[in-house]
Amino acid sequence: MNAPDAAFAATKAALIVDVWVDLFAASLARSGALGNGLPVVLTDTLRVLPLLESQSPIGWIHTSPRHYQDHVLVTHGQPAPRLRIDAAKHPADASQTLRRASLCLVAVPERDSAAAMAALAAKALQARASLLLFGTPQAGGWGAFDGLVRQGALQPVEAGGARVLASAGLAGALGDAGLHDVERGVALAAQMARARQADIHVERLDQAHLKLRLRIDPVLLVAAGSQTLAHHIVHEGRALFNSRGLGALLLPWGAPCQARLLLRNVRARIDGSQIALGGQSLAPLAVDYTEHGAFLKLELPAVAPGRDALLHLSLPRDAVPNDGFCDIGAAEFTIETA
Amino acid sequence: MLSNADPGVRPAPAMAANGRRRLYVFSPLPPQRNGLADYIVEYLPMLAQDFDLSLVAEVGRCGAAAAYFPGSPFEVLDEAAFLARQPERDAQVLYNVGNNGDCAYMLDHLHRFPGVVVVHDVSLFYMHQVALQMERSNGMFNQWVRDTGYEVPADFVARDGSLGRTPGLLYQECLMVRRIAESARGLMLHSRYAESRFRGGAFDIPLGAENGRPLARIPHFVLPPAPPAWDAYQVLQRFGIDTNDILLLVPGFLTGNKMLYEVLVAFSRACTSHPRLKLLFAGEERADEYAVSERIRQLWPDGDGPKVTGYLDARELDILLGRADLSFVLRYPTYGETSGILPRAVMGGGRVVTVDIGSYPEFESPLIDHVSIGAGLVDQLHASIESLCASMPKASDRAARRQVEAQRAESLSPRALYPRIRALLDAAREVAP
Repeated sequence: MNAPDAAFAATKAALIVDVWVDLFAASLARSGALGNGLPVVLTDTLRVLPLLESQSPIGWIHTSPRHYQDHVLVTHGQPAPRLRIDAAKHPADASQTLRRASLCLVAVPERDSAAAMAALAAKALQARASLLLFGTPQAGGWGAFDGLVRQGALQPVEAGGARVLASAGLAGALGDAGLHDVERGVALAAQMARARQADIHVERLDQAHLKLRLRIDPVLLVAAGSQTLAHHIVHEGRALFNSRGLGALLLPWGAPCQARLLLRNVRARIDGSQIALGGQSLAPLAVDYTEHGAFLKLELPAVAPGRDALLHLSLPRDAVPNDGFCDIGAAEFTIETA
Repeated sequence: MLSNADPGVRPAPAMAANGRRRLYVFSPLPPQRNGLADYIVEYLPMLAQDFDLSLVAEVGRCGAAAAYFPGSPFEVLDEAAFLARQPERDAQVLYNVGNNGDCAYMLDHLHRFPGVVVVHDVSLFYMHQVALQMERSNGMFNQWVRDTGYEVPADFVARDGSLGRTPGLLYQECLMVRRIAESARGLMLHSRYAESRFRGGAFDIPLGAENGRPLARIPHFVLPPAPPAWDAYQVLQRFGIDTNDILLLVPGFLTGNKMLYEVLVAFSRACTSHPRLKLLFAGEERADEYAVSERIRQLWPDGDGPKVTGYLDARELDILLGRADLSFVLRYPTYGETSGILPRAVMGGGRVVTVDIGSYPEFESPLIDHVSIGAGLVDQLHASIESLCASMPKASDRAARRQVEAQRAESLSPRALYPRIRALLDAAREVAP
């Protein structure tokens, strides 16, 4: 591998670190290692960790304002707002959540909110939660965590192109294979599939690479930008677009992936939909029209560091029904780790 | 797939490479037939000079708007593209808001991405109603009204929270501006009247730069007079206007609050003694608000009464305003509209009658007569017509008046007013958290 290719692979590996963090944290939760404590994620962007969430409720603490309402599913009930706390607006709630944490995953941000996040992570450390710091090595916020790394004696963990530091207990659990433990991923997927906790299929590509296919209830991913849309999603329990045909979907991880979405109740061809992720406009790879709805196939680039993992779609006017809402009936994501 | 040149992996720069700040503008845009679209178009060249400018169009309207501005120094974005881009921390947002359905989409963004709000109508009640109807969320209306500090009597609220009936005064009193004031990082209003109503509607929201919400009163611009039209004669002929006629004009959309009945009665009185009088309703009829054509047929069954032109483009309207001897720019009730039709009528050089309420008294010109709302209104309108007939100006006088009004209008041109808008944006940036 030449130098530019190696640098590119390292960047890609760093961008998809959340896939591996999700696999590891889910395996911890599944093994009972988290006890009665809550896994808490400190982040400044809108993300989900679908595998961990299939094992345990997660507390999300945000150090930047967030503009969307997303949801979790309550058994036999309607979707409920996902527990996301704006640390600036509700510092007491953030502190209380951190006191309950047994595991604190810290997505190291760019410089802006790093100091605030480091202060929050210190509270988790005081509450004896295990810490795992992860991000790209270039993230500007690492410096703010220097004191915390010393105080918590956090240890570097092998994670490909990403930078990961963990409490001693976690570093031990990660073992020599580090974060990119293919065996752990394969075993976890098999266990979750057997227990019907997640519709995930993992294929080993080589010693350090996996291919994951995740089918997930789109209600867990849909994000509402307005009060009215959030109301309808909760009321109807569907992953809805708004009445103008505008919708947003959280991507399960930040990695480049293929997505296949079933768009229901569309009344015309949707090939001309506007699809945007970050600063990029995307064109569908294919649209298949069936009796169930339109299957939209997309090739998604990596979510850039510091950006929300949100895919935005706006449907053509004539595809939007006058008497109802379009929705996403099914969502499948296929990812190859690096 | 990911590549090193992939823009998706790089956050948009906080400031453009040329060092200019980024400004996102939410507004109805051409080719929409909307006065707010016409308004913002006049300022776009100046905004594009000072800012890295992006217009954010409503879903489904982006293509038409982009096609309207080929080769322009700004971009037109779809709502989805704007949201995906995530406005940079340093970027500013400008919302061009009026009380109509074309602005309803902005309510989805205005509270999440606070910015400077140009408030054209003091009451935004209708816009909020339309927004909820579009989203099939009428049940939230009572809650929104409560947010703005008002309580709808229980008899008027349906069980789901929607507004079953509208208490008569609600449209006038509950302006639905409080939530907007709360979110805004800056506010612009057009008149003293609008400002006072707005402050009343946002009674407990501290306004002003010291409170993080700079507020500026910047009048609606006045465009320079239209150049002489080569086909003016044909246009006038089409509407049956002869050289010797004394033309009375009611310009603009013929809505229910334009006091059309009072104008008809005053005209019918006056034309018995002045056979040269002609009355023309120069705009599109809103028959569900006031069926003016039907009323004309009743009052003049022989068909020799006033005429209704239907929708006119700006050029045709300017031709008629340039020919009118007297224009009626009346409104009651008024919600603080600033359509700009009053200065346009004055620019035509004829006399203009307007009301003495709302923001109308704030535009001053010797060509304007004010009438009071009340029982004596028809008498006042009749007196204005009689006064006109008694002293019809010579053509040379009219040309001189146009000249004077054109000079006066220069201080209200978009270019003259723009520095104040720029100053408001700068002030909003200064106080941003």
